[in-house]
This record gives sequence, C-alpha cells and structure tokens, in this order.
Amino acid sequence: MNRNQWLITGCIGVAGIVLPFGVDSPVWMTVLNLFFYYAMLSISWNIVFGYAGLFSFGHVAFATVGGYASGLIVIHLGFSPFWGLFVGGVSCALIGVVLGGIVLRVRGFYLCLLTWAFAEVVNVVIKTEHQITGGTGGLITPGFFSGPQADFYSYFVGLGLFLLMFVFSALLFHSRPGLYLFAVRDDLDAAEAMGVNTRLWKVLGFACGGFWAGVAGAYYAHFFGLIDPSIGGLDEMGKICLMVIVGGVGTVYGPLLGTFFVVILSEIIRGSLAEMNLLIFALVMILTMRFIPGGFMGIIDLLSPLLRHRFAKMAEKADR
Amino acid sequence: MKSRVWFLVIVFFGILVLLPAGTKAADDIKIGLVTPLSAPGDYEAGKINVQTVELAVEQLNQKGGILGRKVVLVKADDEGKPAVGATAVQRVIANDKVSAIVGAWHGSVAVAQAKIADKMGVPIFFHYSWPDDLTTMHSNYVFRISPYNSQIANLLVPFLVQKGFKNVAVMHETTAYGTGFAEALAKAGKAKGINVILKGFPSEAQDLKPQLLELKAMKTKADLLVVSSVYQAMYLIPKQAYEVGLAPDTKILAGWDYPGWSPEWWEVMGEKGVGVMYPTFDSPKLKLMSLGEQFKKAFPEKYKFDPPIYAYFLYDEVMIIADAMTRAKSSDPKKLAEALKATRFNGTTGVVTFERKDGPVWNQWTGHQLFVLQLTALKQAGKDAAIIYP
Amino acid sequence: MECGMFFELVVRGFAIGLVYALMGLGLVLLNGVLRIINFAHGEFYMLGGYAAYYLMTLVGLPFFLAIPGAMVATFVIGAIVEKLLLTPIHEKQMEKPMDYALIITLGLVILLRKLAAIVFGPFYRKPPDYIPGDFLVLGINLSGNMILTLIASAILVLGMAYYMRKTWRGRSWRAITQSQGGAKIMGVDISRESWIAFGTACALAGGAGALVAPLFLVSPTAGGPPLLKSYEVLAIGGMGSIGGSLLGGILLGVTETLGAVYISSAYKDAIGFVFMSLFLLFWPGGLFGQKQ
Repeated sequence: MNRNQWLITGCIGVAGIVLPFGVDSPVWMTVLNLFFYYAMLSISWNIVFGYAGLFSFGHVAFATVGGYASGLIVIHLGFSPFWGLFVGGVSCALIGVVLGGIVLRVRGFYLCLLTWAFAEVVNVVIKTEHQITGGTGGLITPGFFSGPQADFYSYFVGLGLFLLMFVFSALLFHSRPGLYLFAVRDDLDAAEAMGVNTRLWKVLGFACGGFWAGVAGAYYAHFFGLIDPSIGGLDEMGKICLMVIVGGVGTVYGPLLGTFFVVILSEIIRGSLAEMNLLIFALVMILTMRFIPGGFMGIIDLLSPLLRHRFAKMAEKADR
Repeated sequence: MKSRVWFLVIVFFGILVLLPAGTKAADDIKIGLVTPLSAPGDYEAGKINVQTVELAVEQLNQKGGILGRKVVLVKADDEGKPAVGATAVQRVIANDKVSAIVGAWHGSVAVAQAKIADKMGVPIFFHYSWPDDLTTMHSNYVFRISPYNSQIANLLVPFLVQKGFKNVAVMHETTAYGTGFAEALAKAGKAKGINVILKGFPSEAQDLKPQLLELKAMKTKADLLVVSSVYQAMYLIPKQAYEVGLAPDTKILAGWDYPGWSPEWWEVMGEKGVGVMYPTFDSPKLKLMSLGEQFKKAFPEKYKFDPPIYAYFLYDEVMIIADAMTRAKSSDPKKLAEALKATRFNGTTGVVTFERKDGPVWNQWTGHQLFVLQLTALKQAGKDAAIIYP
Repeated sequence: MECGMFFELVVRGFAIGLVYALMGLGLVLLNGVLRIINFAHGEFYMLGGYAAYYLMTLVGLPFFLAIPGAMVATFVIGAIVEKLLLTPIHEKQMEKPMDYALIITLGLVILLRKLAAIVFGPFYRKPPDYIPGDFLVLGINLSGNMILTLIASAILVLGMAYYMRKTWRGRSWRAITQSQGGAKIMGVDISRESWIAFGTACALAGGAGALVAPLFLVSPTAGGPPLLKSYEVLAIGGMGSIGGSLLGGILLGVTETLGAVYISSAYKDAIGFVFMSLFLLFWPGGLFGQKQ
C-alpha cells in the first residue's frame, strides 16, 4: 500500500472520528452505522468476487449467520458482544471453508446458483425455526453499550471495524496472496501451470470474505439491537452487487464509493414520496449501469488523465 | 494519483454539506403514519390504512384541527421489514418530530417499532397487530386497540366447542402473525380438549396442495380447516382445498375478515366461496356507537368501498389522539402518553379505555366482539352474510 | 389410503413440474444465446398474467386469444428491453457481461414491480376460468385450467424443441450457444438474434404466467417464486437443453410435492434448493446439458 493510500485512509479516519460530533440527528447516526455495515459487506464481497472472481451470490447469508450466531451466543451464553463479533466472524469462516470446499469446484454461473441456493436455505431455516431464532419478527440482541450514548459509542466500533477491513482489503490488493486471488480470477489454467494451488486460494478467498461478512452481520445485530431474516434476502444481495459494481469491481476504493453512493443517496432522496423513491432509485441504477458500466472508478479513470493534464498545465504556468 | 485523491476528497465533503441540518419546527401537529406501502409488506392493507388516517385527519382539520392547530401527516413505508420499520419510526420521530405514530401493521415489524418508540418516548398505536409481545413489554408508550393472539384464541375456542369441531387443522404462514395465532389457538384449543394440527408454510407459497392432500389422507380427518395468511395463500388455500377434495367435507374457516369485504374473494373463488365461514370483529350485529355510524358512512362516500373492521380501530386511534391532546392541552409526546392512560373515549365500536392488569393487558383495550359469519350466496357482501356465532 | 395419496401427489407434482418446465424453457434460450442472468424473468411471467387478465376482462377476448395475446405482449416488451438496455453486451464486447446484466436486470425487477403495483394495484387478480369445471383424470380431480395448462405447456415445449432443431433460426440459436464466433462466420446476425431470442424467452415466461393465472392468481409480486423455480429447472435440466428443461421441471415438481408431505411442509422450497444443489455439484451439465 503506497503513501497516497495511507493518506486517504487517514483522511477518512479523521473525518470519521470528527463526524459524529457534528451530526446531531439520531437518524443520521443510524444511517452512518448502516453505511459501515454495508461497506463491510461490499468490501468483503469485493474480495470474493472482485479479487478472486468467485461469483458468490450467497454473501448476505454469511452476514445473517454471523449476526444470529453472535446474537444467540450473547443472549444464551452471556458473552460480551465484542466476543460475539469474533464468534460471528469465525463461524462464518468455518462455514466458508466447508462450503467452499464443496461448492467451489463449479464455476461462474453455476456457482452463482449454488450460493444463491445456500442463502435461500439459510433464510428458510431461520424463518421456520422461530423458537430459536425469533422467526420473521427477529431476534432482539443486546447492544455493545447501554445507556443513552450507546449509539454514539457503537458508531466508533463500526468505524474501527470498517477502517480495519478497508486497510485489510488494500493490503491484500498489493500483497502476494492478493496476487494469487487475482490469478485465480484472471486465468485459472495459467495459475495452475505456475504452481499456484488454485483450489486452496479459492477456498481461502471465499472463507476470508465470509469471515468479514460474519463480523459485519454481528456488528449489525449489536448496534441495531435487532436482527431479522430480511437482511439475507435477494434484494439485499442485489444492493451489495450494486454497490460494488457501481463503485468499480476489483478495485480498492470501488466498494467504498459504491456504498457511499447507494446508502447516502437513498437517504437523501428518501422522504418525498415514499412509494416513488424506490422507483427512482431503480431508474438511476439502470441508467447508471447502461451508460457508465465501469462504475465510479471507471469515471475517475476516465477523468484523471484530463485532470492530470490540467494540473500539469497549471504547474507549467507556475514555473514560468 | 493525486487527482484521484482530490476528487474523492471534494466529492466526500461536498456531499457531507448536503446533510440536512434538521427540519424547521412548525406550529402544525404532526402525526406519523408508518405502514407497509411496498412489497414484501402487505401494501394492500397499507393503502387502506393510509386512506383511513387521511380521512380522519381531513375531518379533524375541517373542524379546526387539534388545539386550533392544523394536523399534518408524515407518511413512511416500513416495507414489511423489521429493520426498515424500526428505522422509519426513528426517522419520523427524530426528523419530523411527530407527536404520535399510527398505522403499524405486520406483527414481525411491530415489535421492533414498539421498542424504538418506547426508547424515544413517543406514543405508538397498534390497531391490528396481534403478537402478545407488544404489550407484555409493559411500555408507557405502546397503546393497543387491536386484539391480541391469546385473547383472540380464547374468544374463538367457544365457537369451536359450540359447533362441535373436534379435529382442527390450522394452515398458517410462518411469520410472527401466522405462527403466533396458530400456536395461541393450539394452546387454547387443547385446554378444551380439541385436537389442533398445525401446518406451516412460507408466506409466498403458491402450491399448497401437497399439505392439503396430506390432511385429506389422515386417519382422523380434520373437520375444520383454519386459514391464517395475509398473502395469496389466503385465497389459494380455500380454492385448492376444493380442488383436492378436502372441502367441502372439511369446513373452512378463513382467517381473518377478508371474505366479507375483499374485492377479490368472489373473483377467485366463484361458487366455491359459498359456505365458507370466517371469523371477524365486525358484523351487522356489531353495536356501533354514533362515531362508528358516522365513519361507516363517510368512508365509502370518499373511497367507494366499505371499510374493513381494522379501519374502524385505526380511525379510533386518530380520534383518541385528538381527544388526549385536547385533555393534555399539549402535543408533546410525553404529556400525550400520560393523558392517554386516562382515556375514556366513545369510539366507533365501543367505549375505549386502556387497561393495565398483567401479562399482555397493558395499555390494551379489551372491548372487542368476535363474530363468525358464513357466506350463503354467490357474490354476497359481508353485511348480508349469515351470523352463525354468537 | 396411503397409496392413493402417494399416487395423487406424484401426478400433481408432475403437473406443476410441467409449469416449472415452461418457466425454465425461456431461460434455456436466454442463457444460451445471450449468456446472461436475467433476474427479471419472473416479472415477464407476472406481466403475461396481467396481460391475459386484462385482455379477457377489459377487451373481452376468449381465452384462446387472450393467452397468445399475452405472449405477443410480453414478446414485444422483452424485445424493447433488449434493444434499450442489453445491446451493449454484444455490441461493445463487454469483458464481464454477467456483471452488467446482473445490475440492469435487478434494477428492472424493482422498476417493473413498482410500476405494476402503481398501475394495476395491489390486488390478487384471477381471470375467468379458461375451461370451467373439474375433470377426473386417472382417478384424480383436476381442474379444467390445469388440464389446459398441461396440454399447452406440452405443446410449447415440443414446439420449441422442433423449432430449435428444424428451423434456420432455431439452429442459429444453438450455434450461438455453442460458439458466438463460429455462428458469426456462418452468417448469423448476433444483434438481431439477440433481441428475437430475448423476446421469445419473455414470451415463454409470459405464456406460463398467462396459463397459470387462474390457478395461482396474478399480483405485482407474483414474479418472485417463478424466478427461483426457473433457475432451479435450468440447473437441474442443463443449460443448453430443452428436453432437460422438461425433465428437470418434472423432477423438481415431483420432489417438492413429495418433500412437502414426507419431509416437511415449511421446508418445501428448501428441499427444491437442496435438490438443485445436488445436481449442480455432482451433475453440472444437468440432465442433458452441455459439458462445461
């Protein structure tokens, strides 16, 4: 990770720390917390799909499992929610390893269907076993902190996790394991020929993404105080896909930009007509994709030579 | 690389500037209406909720509003999802500063919403959400005009006993609503020696014939099939019960209300709809108070169809809010909550008081009347159906 | 009588399986010729149902005109969608057509459902019975609508199979499925075939929707379950094969129906998913599909 990326991380971190002191409304606090949740899911899915090229369509199921695992452990065994984060992540990593081992032998579209089936099964189980999981009404989960400032402190937990995940994904991007993942994505046969154990790296990539998704789910359960099966639905998975693809798949900043766009934008346009805003959002989605397929990073890539040209000219003028 | 950095920084802070600073407080009285307006929520019911409350608010404003101030509705969609519903409640309270919230619908969403409203100290009303949990939490801000599951089961079981049903099958959607009602009925039924069989199905299910066939093949056949669903299964189960031959030997009790007033019932069932029984809290025998008579006329005048019973309850809630605010001489949520406790209001179907005893009876009205009606002719409207209980 | 119930379950599973097969049929085309995933496939099923409903109730057409009418309507809508939204896939030589199709069709699902809810209202509609009354078939009571559906599905499936084998267009579609480059060399206009194939896939979905409208009712959200089922059928039956779609649909229908009774009612859908997963894992080409 180069100097500029550390700089940006720092900027985001500072902005993140300062932000809650300026924001007065509990609604925006919830939105920011939701931003962290979705950003974590997007970053982790980007690792699975963007880096390793695995078309996993069951990603939100990991968040669901992580959230319920953490919630149930905290409720029934009395652990602290912070341990719950860990348990959520690890349980999903384990499931990721086992599932990955079975499922990742198929590719592309078939993998998509299989992982989709996994997500649907998870949903059905949670809805049906309502004695344990609370069914469609959801599970009320204890928060990280109690008292009136609880949301405020939870925000920092979210910020911390989010930054951690972002740095992890950036480091991974530039590292050797990252290279193996890209190799798996770009040319499986060449990678095999070069001696890369593609099977191992596929499973690791999948489980890694699953781990972080589980942590994200556990975070959601404890900051929101409620976890219900709707977070594992097809439309949630669609949102994650949208965020990553609109932001720019396989890039470091892509998931961040995409999540920002989707979460913050939907909050700003909400409010006018409750029924119409979803319609408008869908239209925006379709039009954006139709005319700007590279996502935001694509736009930036397009613009940056222009901007660089401008800066170069300005620098020239300054020199004279 | 630098250009990218600057681009990101500018965009980021640019959008931060757009964050709303908070709404200007007006002198209007704001009531929050949080109800399902889109799938997977039951937006058919949500639409009726909106129509009811809009009618009530219109009438209030025609009479000069509450405390001389105009009443304004803040609408929000809970999409039938607990997380969305809870956030919507938070939003209308924090951003729009509503004094009270009405219109909550789905049982699964209601519990989350009740918790938030309780935490933020704003009264929230439930006009037709049945899970017992809503009031067992004993909040000072949760008020329920709706009946609740264990009460409903206890009101329905005498009907089963009177008609001699010994083996009752309940097909219910696996949601808080369906499962909650089914289990309450099973418990109450077993206490009176009735054998209750439960069959759950996912709420979007379209093919219920396997389960119906299984019921048909049982050694001790069920003499009554109870349907507990709010989505297409509520039409599909009676229809398919006839198709597999379970009905008409096994009688059908279609929960809840809809055969009497739903515009789709006769279109879907045709002749087979005759003979189906359904429980409801409404009937021609229902003793309406003067407010109820007025509502009964005003609603179809404006919307061209008769209101279902839950619209009456919802209408009551808005009027009770007006009454309590007038007594409290304030629209402040906390003062409103206090004044609501002492409510003694001539509602549409009875005198509404909010009782506090134990268990689920907390800020709960218990004045409901249960009826069981039976459709006796094709295309019959609910008001002409035969009253077979009580 | 246990035997009687089992037999009836199998027959009813078979019947519903044919409906699934019809839904999956369109996907065989879509996946082969356009190589994309289409989340909006279920929405065309829904639109077909509404088309049949309104053609019968508002325009007053009899069912044997309304159902083809619904198919024509969904063909047209599908072709328009393809022309407006999906042409970049084959024109711009996209590196990742799947991503693109994913987002666009997801957006399309939301758009179509919302529009349907606003235009048609949230009600559950049922067109008048196509063939009123019930008939006794093999000792089992089947409604006239169901029998019509079975016959029409069989005709459509066989018709498609014939079309794919015997007509020039059908063969060119199979060629594109196997190799786009190769097909081009043989003179196939990919652009043209894309919108026709897409339209046809939508028409098949619309036809399925129109046929089962009196059985399962139409509503703005009616497209959700068929989407999943169609993809399950595609997975089980095999990506390139119509026969596979037929057999796959039947297998799925029977497994689900038996599973609902003998394993668990609430888990009925999950059983279907697990069944599909087993196929994807151990028999990835599907029953008759191409090897990957």
